[in-house]
Amino acid sequence: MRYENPTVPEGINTSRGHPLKRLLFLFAALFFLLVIVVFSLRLMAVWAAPYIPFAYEQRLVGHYFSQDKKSESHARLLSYLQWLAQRLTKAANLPDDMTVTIHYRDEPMVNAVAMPGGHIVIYRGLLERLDSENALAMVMAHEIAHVKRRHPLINLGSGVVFSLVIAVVTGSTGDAVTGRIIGQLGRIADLGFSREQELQADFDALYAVHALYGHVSGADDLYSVLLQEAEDDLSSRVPEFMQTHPVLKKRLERLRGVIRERNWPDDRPVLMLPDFN
Amino acid sequence: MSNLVLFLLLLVLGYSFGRYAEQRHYRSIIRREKEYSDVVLTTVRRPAPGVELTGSELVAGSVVISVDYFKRFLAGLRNLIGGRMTSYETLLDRGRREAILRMKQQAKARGANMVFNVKMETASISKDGGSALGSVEILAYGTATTVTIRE
Amino acid sequence: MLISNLEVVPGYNIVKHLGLVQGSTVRAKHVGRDIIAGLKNIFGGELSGYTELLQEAREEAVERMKQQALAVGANAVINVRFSTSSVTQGAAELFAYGTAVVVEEK
Repeated sequence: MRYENPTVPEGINTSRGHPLKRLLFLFAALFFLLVIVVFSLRLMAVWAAPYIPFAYEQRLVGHYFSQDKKSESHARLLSYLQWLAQRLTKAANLPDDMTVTIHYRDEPMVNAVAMPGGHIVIYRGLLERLDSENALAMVMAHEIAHVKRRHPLINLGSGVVFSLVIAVVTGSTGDAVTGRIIGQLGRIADLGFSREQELQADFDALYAVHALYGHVSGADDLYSVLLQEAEDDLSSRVPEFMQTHPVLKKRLERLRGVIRERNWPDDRPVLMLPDFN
Repeated sequence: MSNLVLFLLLLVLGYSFGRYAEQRHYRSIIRREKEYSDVVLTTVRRPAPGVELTGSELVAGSVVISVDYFKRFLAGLRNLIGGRMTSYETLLDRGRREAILRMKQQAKARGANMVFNVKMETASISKDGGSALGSVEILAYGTATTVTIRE
Repeated sequence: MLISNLEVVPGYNIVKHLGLVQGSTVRAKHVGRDIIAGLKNIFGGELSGYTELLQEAREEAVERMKQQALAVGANAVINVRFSTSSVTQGAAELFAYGTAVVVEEK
């Protein structure tokens, strides 16, 4: 009988491989899974949206907009916006049960948003930068197209379900940090879909504007304005610029491509915006 | 945005310091394992026939060791995908070997050359009720004795 | 390689003790399995995903212990013990350790 103590070689109870490589692999795998999840959620939402009556959608957000104050100073502006929207909804062949309500926000943001229930919010910042009715019509037609295609509802629905998925995953792993990380990754995976929606809305809007005015002059002003805005903002919001700038350029090029293809006139005089001050 | 910066900072700090500490710890473990290689461990309770024991005393070694932020994050991601959690393997490996070394050190200080009936315990002590690994306590204990072999 | 949790291997003589050998692994199941296990907690019954997880982990821990024993020139591991610790929610650590020995047939 002998007792010995040989040295046990290293690396049996630990794995080889660089930790950063592992991190990269895990991120890639997770992102791939999230793309699948987001894609199937989107598919389901797109499939289900037409079956949900527009009235439900309106009721869903009804209370949110009911307290919207209609201040006197904006009354004329609002009725003008609503009048323009009415003409555009006709030009866009919006179904009879769908209605569009315009809201105006006295804020410097250069933006316009379509919300569920046919509510469209236009910000002062954007209105100030547009110098023709045709350009404004393009913005509104774009948002009306979102409403017609039920994009706000689709985004809301898939967003809610996605948050639920994250909550379940976070709950079952007990890790809040990873929950936030997969939330961010999911948003990136979602970007492709929102781009697709923007492109669809652009095309629809161009058709509607052409149907209303018979030409598309001033229609692409919006994109020049947004591009200019993104460039002015470069110093303060670099990551956002990196994200939006190429997309805007692409959207502008696509629109110009369609205009050329259809031979739609874009050199007619544009209508001036009425003065509300 | 500031959240993201803080997160990345913690990740980088955890990665660099954790890696440095781990490599230094492993070097120290390997050096001390050579130093104490004359103390033999066994999980067996009884000595073999023809072996004479002198003296017996309980010896123990314990260590509480924690994992860095980077590894914890890596493990969190791995928990979603499934599979081998490689980032915790080194933590447990280091902890076990450190606890054993401390036990051996005690045994050697008492002039023993063997530890019988070695047992090990692992306990996870984390602040949030064990849902996420913060730190582990590892305890190794056994009976130290001096062995003389009669030919 | 003989693995046993006895102190002797029946039919064999232990000729050499080679000290402690250990094998450990930490494993997790993918999050889908965790969610199903969470639901099963309501209805009761076997959490087959976790049974599988522990089984896999045990096999791997023993495999690693065997590798250590082989590396030090042993042909048996005696008095093997297992210990399980829950490392993180949904993950399990399995640790196997024993004494590496050289045995000869009687």
